[in-house]
Amino acid sequence: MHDKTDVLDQRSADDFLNIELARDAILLFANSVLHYDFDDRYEQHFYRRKLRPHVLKYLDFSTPASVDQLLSYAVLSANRVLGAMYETDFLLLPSGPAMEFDEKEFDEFYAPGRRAAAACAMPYLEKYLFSFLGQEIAVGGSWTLPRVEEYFGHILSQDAASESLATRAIAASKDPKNAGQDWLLQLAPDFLLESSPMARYASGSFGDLGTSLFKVIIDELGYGEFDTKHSTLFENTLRSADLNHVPHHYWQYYLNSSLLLSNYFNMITRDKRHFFRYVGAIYYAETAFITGCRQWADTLKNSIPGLDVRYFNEHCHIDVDHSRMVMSNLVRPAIERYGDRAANDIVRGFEESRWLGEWAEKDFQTQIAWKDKAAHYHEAHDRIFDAVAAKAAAGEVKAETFVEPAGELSITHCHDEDELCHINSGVMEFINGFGKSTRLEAGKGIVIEHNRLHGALIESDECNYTIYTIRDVKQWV
Amino acid sequence: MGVKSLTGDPSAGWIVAIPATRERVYIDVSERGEVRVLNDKCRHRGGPLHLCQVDQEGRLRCPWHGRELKKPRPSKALAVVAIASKNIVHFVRETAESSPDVWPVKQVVRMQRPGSISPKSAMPGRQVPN
Ligand code: FES
Ligand SMILES: [Fe+2]
Ligand SMILES: [Fe+2]
Ligand SMILES: [Fe+2]
Repeated sequence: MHDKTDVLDQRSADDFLNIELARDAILLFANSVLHYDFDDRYEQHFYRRKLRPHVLKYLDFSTPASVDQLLSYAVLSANRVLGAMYETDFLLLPSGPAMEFDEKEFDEFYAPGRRAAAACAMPYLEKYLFSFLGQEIAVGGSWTLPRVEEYFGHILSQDAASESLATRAIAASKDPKNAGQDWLLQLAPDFLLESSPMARYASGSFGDLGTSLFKVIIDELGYGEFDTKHSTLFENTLRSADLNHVPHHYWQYYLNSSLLLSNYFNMITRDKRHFFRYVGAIYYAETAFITGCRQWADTLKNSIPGLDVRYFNEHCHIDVDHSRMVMSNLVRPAIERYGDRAANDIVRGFEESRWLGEWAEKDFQTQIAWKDKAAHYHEAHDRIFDAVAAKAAAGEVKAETFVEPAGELSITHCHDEDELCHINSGVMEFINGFGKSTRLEAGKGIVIEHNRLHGALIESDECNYTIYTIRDVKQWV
Repeated sequence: MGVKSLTGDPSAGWIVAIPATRERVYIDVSERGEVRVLNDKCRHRGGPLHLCQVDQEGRLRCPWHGRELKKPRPSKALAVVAIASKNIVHFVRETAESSPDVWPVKQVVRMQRPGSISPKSAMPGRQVPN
């Protein structure tokens, strides 16, 4: 008798979750003109997303990141790669009058080989980025519908009364307009493609839950009117803030945490096992938005004169309905029908999206503080340079020297420890973050705080500079 | 009140007493995010199982009459959410509108796990003879 379960006859791979295979897939995906370094401060090409791909082979994504590694460069890099991979699921076409359609890059963006590589790498990157949630957020015991409702009501009323960290950061910033613009940018990875992750659940067969979710999707898409589509409203917000509205024009300025949040919503919609987590996450998002959008709009209006806040007003209004609709037509029937599994996952998703939203606001607050301290860190260089250089000469501090030509851009990145940048000759525009630069001349420099997004652009014909790994600036002052 | 939020030592355990149903529940959360919600009453005479000690063979024994606790019984009395980096634990019950819903929560030393202390390293004073 032939054994009909004798199927395998492997020629190259036994397991498509194999980490070596996934690593190969990441490098192959990133090895593209769409991802190579290029000297644009902002993305000028519709399909390009900078991944600093030449660095990827040195990063290790095989051990899941822990909470205290979430702001590391490896996590930033994984977030960028994963974000770029997810978007190959969505149709993106340049739609504005001034935007050129680059046929070659369009084909490259959706190339079957890259899509296949992405399919192999995504579960691996998701595991690397999101495993920490399982340890950070523990959900257990016996969840019933009345308990879920009790808990959600309790947490949401607490949260509605608390002040958003992002608005606090904008109001406290030395440059509230820039901080306000920066916050709009951090919302962009999600809002410019708003409801694309959600629409992944527009397909399938799962009874009236599908219909209920579709009702929300209809509103998100502007119930058939392009001008009322939520992403269109957000494009108008960006325009009114003197910002470009093309998706990912500001790719390089997305913070680690902003990407983590938008990737999370992609993860729980792409992998259908997470449907119930999604229901909890979207319930939190729809409800928290009612008061969150009010707070953001009030602060942003003050910091950016003439801001079009219709996007935020729309959400203060329609999310009252969305919150109620998700509770009665998704949360409740899902728990009634699918029991414990649904209830546990719904609570988990609710807490996860809450946690990640708060994390993003905290990271933003730190980034604004870092940009505001540009002058302080510029001066700090002068105070500590001699001591650092002496230790470096003695081999006690790691130092690396670079010589770069005019116009060369160091794509934004972050370091895991504090660094000191010192200019030996030439001039560098040090990019402290979105819309904030410090001009560094020969003999000058700047302290670079660990985990903070920054970049550099060479202004002189050539610039020779040294990066000293000082680990913790506090040791030196 | 249906939700109680406590900040405290995440490596501790908690006891929740529910007078309405005469239940007593033991809760803890492991470093890996696993939640245990257990009936704290010994099957025999209701002894406090969270005070179980580990004997020389690594078995859990009830402090009252020393019977072995083979398999702790899960309790459905409440639900739990814990956020590790914030050291916060939420205990959740439905609000019973008809009854005054009183259910005190108390932090206790974490319950030992069977075999968690090897007989040699166990403190001699805490061992219960077979
Ligand atoms: S009450 Fe536990 S052994 Fe008697
Ligand atoms: Fe929306
Ligand atoms: Fe909505
Ligand atoms: Fe750098």
